[in-house]
Amino acid sequence: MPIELWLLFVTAVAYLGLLFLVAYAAERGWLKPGLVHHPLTYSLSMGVYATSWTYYGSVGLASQGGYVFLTVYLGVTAAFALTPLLLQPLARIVRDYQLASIADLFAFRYPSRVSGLLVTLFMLIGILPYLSLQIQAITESARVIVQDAPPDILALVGCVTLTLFAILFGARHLTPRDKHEGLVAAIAFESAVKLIALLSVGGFALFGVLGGPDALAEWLAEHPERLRQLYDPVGQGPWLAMLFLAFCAAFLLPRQFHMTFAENNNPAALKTASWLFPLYLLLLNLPIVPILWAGIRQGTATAPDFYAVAITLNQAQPWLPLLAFVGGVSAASAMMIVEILALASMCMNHLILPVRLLGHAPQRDLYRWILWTKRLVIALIFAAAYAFHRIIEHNQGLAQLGLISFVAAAQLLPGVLGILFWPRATRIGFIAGLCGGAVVWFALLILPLTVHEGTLTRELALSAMFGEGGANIWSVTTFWSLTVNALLFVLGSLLSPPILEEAEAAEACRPQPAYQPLAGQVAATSPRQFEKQLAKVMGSYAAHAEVLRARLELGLPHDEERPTELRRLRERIHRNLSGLLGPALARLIVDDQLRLREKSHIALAESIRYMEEQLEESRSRLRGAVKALDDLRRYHRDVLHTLPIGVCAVSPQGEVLIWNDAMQAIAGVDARQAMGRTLANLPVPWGELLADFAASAERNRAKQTLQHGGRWRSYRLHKAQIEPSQGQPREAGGLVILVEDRTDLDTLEAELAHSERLASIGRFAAGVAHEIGNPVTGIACIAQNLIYEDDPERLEAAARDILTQTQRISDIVKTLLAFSHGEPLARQPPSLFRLRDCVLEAVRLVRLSHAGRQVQLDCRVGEDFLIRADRQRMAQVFVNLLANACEASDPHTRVEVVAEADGAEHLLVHIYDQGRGIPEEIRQRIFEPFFTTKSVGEGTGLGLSLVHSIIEEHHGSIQIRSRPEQGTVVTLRLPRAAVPAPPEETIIP
Amino acid sequence: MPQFPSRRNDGAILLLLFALLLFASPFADWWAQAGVPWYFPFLLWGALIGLIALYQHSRDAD
Repeated sequence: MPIELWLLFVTAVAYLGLLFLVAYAAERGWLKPGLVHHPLTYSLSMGVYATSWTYYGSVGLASQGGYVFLTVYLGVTAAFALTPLLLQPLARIVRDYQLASIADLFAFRYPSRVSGLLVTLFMLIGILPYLSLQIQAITESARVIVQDAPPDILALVGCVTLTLFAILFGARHLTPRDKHEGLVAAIAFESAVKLIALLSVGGFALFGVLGGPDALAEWLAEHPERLRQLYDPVGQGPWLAMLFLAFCAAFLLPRQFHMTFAENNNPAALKTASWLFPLYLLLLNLPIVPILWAGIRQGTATAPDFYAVAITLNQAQPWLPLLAFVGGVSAASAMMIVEILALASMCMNHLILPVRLLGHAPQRDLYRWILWTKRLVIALIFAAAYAFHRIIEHNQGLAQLGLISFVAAAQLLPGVLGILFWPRATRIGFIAGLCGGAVVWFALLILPLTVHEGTLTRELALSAMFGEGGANIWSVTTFWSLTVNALLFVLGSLLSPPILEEAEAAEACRPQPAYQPLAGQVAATSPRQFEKQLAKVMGSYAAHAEVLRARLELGLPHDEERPTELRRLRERIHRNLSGLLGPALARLIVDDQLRLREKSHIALAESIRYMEEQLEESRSRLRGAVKALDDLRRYHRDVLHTLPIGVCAVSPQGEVLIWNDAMQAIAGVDARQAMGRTLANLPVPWGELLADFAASAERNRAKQTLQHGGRWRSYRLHKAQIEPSQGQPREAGGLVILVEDRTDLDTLEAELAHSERLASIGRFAAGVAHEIGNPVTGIACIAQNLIYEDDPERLEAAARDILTQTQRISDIVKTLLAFSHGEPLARQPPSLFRLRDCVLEAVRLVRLSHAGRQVQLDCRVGEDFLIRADRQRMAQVFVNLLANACEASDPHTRVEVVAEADGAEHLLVHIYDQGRGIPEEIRQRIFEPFFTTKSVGEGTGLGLSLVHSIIEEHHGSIQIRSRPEQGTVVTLRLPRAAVPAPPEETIIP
Repeated sequence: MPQFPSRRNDGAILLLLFALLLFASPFADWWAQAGVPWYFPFLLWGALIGLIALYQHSRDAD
């Protein structure tokens, strides 16, 4: 029963309206994001592979070649079985380098404007007949349904509608880098529709026409030749060639590349698609044979290509023919939309943009210009497909024009294999191979179309040369075009040495790229200068937007000036522009406008952040020894970052490379803020401090105080030179600075020192009582005698005696006060004083002790020996050392302090005693805190430990030599202070 | 124990070889002439898809 044309038209329009709605809903976020990004949606969107060739042409192919039609899908299954080796590496390259089309991929790997241009032109020529075939399929199926030739205007209206759809949902965003969720959702919807339609028609064929499985089995038993017609061609004729062509088409056809890689929102979904998409193809092909047999059973006069609609016309309900027609529309429209979008993207990046951007004044708004030009290109390609459909007479079967495109796409296989597996491949080889393959393809498949009125026959002059002996045209053309292609590819590559860009691109395409440091420094010194440079080509608006985008992606401030960060910014802009303008043009613009300084280099060590970023990005791809090394790297990094000591690694040029967690806490400076800056440019006060320490000759700085966070804090600094390992360049070296926050430890030490001082005073208490007691007794006696004195001279003498005695008491008290004075936690700033005064003060104090009174204490320290130190703490040193010497000495022996110059800058202070000496085993532990040989309650064990600590703090050293029963010499080596100019500094007496 | 890349992708190569055995070898000629039902190629195809799914599942588990 024929269907009215208006009903068919309304149905098609309603379907396309529904398609618009689905795409719009996905774009507006009305569909759940989980649904749009679901692997099922992704797998269905790949169903764009199945065009009207599958929908209609498979039945025609099955009628001629039996199960040969399955090879078109079995080849795809074989390609998807190789997902980890083939598709995932390609997906990674496309994602990492923001490639928008298959031409971009070749232009990236074989850096030359010719590579992309050639692929674009070849694909345009190869695919255009296939596009026109889709229009032909729709109009032909409409003719079958209405049983009359539909007006040509319908095909035109269909083309205009699809153009609108492609423009609205495929060229929607200002920048082509963004994914088109609406497009993906709509193509997935179309795949679902054609599957449902074909399954419905297949179900009708099996149950409605053939009478069910049992009846079919009976019919086949009566007509065994039908089964033989299916199975006889298996493995024969074009079987292998078509398997191979389908294998290539699975990822090399522009539309497949576009949906599989460029529009892929979810990289992990490719794994699921590796089996779900072949399963979809299996379901789609399951009804083909029943439809064929139903057509034969019905004796339909229509060509087998259109059995899918013809068999449905013999039933009362019109919904099935309409559904079958909608399925055909969905198959053709999806293919046209995606194929034309992919071709438009290729034309933009490799035909139009290079001409427009190079040699013309920059656009004011490049984005808008790109968007509208791309829309125009889409419309032009649609128009070309429509014109081709009108001009050429389609004498070919649906499958044959499709296969011509497949052979064209297969010419890209050697280039892709070069990308994935042959780093030595060069652009010369690729261009030579592609040209050679294209010439053979044109001579064997396109030329005969014009010579023989659009019919490919085995009698063709050229193909007949190779086709003798039963070989068919597809095997012959595939074999010879690819043989010529591959030979030229290999020869061309071997004969042309790879240029630097090729070597870099080949490295980037390896499954586990060797991480190259970013070489060179950008001549531009700020993001603003980047904008100015880019604006010369891209216009100020796009230049500003691109720099801003890259800057925000990297988290860099607008006034960034660190060379390493600017180098990273350049790299990011290059990648982003690659997504916008294609890799060839992006490289040209970046190389030209964001030049690298000649003879400059960025040290290997300075690229640490970039390399770390690359490693983090590609961590999931690392395997084997590389992964083990990366694990080791992460472990070392974690150790470095969790060290409780601040670590700051500096490049030979003085830029901070590592700034660990403790360093962030100590300095209050964030790692992102610090890294890449020179030490001197770090925030106050750290910049000055670290730069000064790095420049100084000292390897350690025992104590550095800084006011930080509202209080004084104490730090100890260390540094070490990083020597490059063997085989590494000199630039790999640098400096590592360790910063230890000693504030808490110093506080504790100060408390201990104070306790020790108080303990010393306690130990001197008896002596103090004795020393004070004597003058007091003397004063008392004098005072008693004064009652009886009336001689003025004697009275005056008595008064003088009293004053002398009180002065003696006052001296003792002053000394004690000076020794014990001060807050336990307060440190005095270093002052300049005579060493002799300090030693004498200590001698006076020690003489207060019982042991001190038993020995002879001598001080032989010159008047001119000055030191700069914390005087109170230095007095503590001598008190402790002298007290120990006295306690170790027998009564009436001598303890002597002697000082001498040690060169111009140091002093040696020896404290000799003639005591018992220190046994060797004790001497080794003598500076340990709380180590004492005295009885409990007599000593704290902190005395010598404090002495050691104080001397080290003052950049000095201490050495002990001792002989049993002969005595001990303690030698202090202290920095000697120069005599100051009188008005500036006063020596404290 | 880390796996080397080739080891991890061995399964993909085996799957391709299995696909070639099923559809591009003398075995294909044999089953085509063995009088099997019309849907037999779809059973082979389905088995291949099942193996691909299993392989991907095992890779995910790794």
